[in-house]
Amino acid sequence: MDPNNLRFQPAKDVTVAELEGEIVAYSPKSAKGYHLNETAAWIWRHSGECGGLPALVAKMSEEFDCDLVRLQTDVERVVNEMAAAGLLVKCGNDLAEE
Amino acid sequence: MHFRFFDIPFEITCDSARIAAQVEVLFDLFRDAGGDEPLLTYEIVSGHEGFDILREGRILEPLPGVTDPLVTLEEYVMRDVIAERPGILFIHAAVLAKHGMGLVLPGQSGAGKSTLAYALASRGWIYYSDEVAPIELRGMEVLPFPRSIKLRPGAERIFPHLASHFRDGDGYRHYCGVRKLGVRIGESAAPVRLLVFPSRCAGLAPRLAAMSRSVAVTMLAQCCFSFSRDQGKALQQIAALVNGVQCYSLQTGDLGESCAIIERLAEEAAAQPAYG
Repeated sequence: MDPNNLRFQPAKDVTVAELEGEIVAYSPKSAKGYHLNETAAWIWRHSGECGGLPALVAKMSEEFDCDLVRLQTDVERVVNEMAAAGLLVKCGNDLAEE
Repeated sequence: MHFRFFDIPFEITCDSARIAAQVEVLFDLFRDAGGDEPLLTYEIVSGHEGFDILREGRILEPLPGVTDPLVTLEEYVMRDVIAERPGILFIHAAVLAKHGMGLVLPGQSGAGKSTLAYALASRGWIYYSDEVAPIELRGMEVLPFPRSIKLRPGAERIFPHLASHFRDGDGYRHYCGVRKLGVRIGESAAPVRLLVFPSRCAGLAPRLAAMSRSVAVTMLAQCCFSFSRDQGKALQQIAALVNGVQCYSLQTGDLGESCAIIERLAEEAAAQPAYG
């Protein structure tokens, strides 16, 4: 399965508090609180709106005016970390299967 | 023995005079005449393998790794108090007050809360607690919870004058009645203005650093006794608290210098208007 085709969305059981553009998210899965800086908070919020990682990266590149290639690696890493922490869940299935 | 925590009457009985005396020291300032029917009754009963603690006649599960009956008793009493007082946010923190404002020092066990709390109280700060910060959510005010101060073995090296308070017939005693320490004890609620997260760093120079509010909320959530009650609500309550205060981390090393840093911080905060 191509990881680029995976889609994630914020986990429904995560509790959040927003402060000054940043997010504190508590995941019952890991029983831990996480501090998401502004960029990570943006990724967490928008992950469910985009049709997969490439679309999320493209949207972010437009919003923050930064290099697409480097962004791809960074966003993938952050998304995987959030998924491991229980902050994001896979909603997708492989897009090719839709 | 009758006690009252946040207006909740408790009765605690004990079949060992030695343990009963320790319970009296632990909750000295919560003693109550006992006129009201207790909400809950605890018993500490000696057994051949230590102590059983009963609540309303039912044996409570021992806490993992805990052998001290006082630690177990306090843990269960606090769980009851937290459940009975949803309008109060309970944080694992030492609390002091000066200039009419509350200083909250949150941290896990071993962060140095009690040592710093006693050191500040010795310098004229008003002692509220070395362990529990009960924060009334309506006004974001911290209430006094002056249970006996708990210092670790070795504290008498830092505070030699306390050595006699921490020794009894069978060795080291963790709890020392606050009344005996000669410090001023908080009697009324104080608005929370400063949150300082101490971390013990022996041998290093003390260092204070401003902390972002979101980091403070993350760390406070880890020190929040109320978190198990309702995570979502507690997180929002913590965020509301943090929005109105100044947040710092303090690497403590030299205790005198750490106190001086906090005193300068408090003087600066007292000169500024409260916000939030």
